[in-house]
Amino acid sequence: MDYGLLVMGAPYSDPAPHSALRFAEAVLARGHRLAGVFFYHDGVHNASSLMTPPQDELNLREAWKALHERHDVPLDVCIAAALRRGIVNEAEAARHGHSAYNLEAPFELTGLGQLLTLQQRCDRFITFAS
Amino acid sequence: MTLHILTTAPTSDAARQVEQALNAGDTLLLIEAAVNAALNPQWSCWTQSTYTVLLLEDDLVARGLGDIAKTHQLATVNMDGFVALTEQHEQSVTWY
Repeated sequence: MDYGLLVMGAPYSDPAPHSALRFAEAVLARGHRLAGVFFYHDGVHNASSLMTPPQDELNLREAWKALHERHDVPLDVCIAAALRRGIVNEAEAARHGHSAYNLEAPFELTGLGQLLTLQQRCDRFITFAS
Repeated sequence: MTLHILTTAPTSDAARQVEQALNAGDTLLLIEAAVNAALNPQWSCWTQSTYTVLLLEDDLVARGLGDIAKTHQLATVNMDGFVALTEQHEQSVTWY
């Protein structure tokens, strides 16, 4: 089956990203395909490349990135939710006159249309929010 | 049949709302803070028999509630079982 996940919680303050990540691994272990993960609301903070947890703790951004590298899972971030919260890629930083950016590949800034497309083309779509 | 996933404590508004929404044959999966329901075996969801209620084992153990769930004979599933539940239910709703 094709699975899609919606992650709406911020890393380290909300258990939703941890739950979603463990669920994603279990989905893949059962032989399903993970067609995409969409980060929305505070979930956009999962994409921050400046995230610097202590070295003996899970780096959630790196964990999502590893999932992408191992299983080619698209990691889409809602652009409207991200810009509001200071999560910007190089192009958006330049456009808004910021001196730095914190969103890089494999995370992609996309619109809500992408969320609807993911929802429509997946057999199962599971929301993680707390 | 719908899989309802509750992520907040049994005293939350979301828990009260999901109770209203559950139909016969549905499954209620308790994850994250919702596993605190193991502390209250008198909770109305435990004492009915029209729908199935399960606790996510990983979150129970993380909160040190594994033994209490066993004592009260409350049903659990692991993460693999969570995925299996989503295979069996075409629809899922997360309550938070």
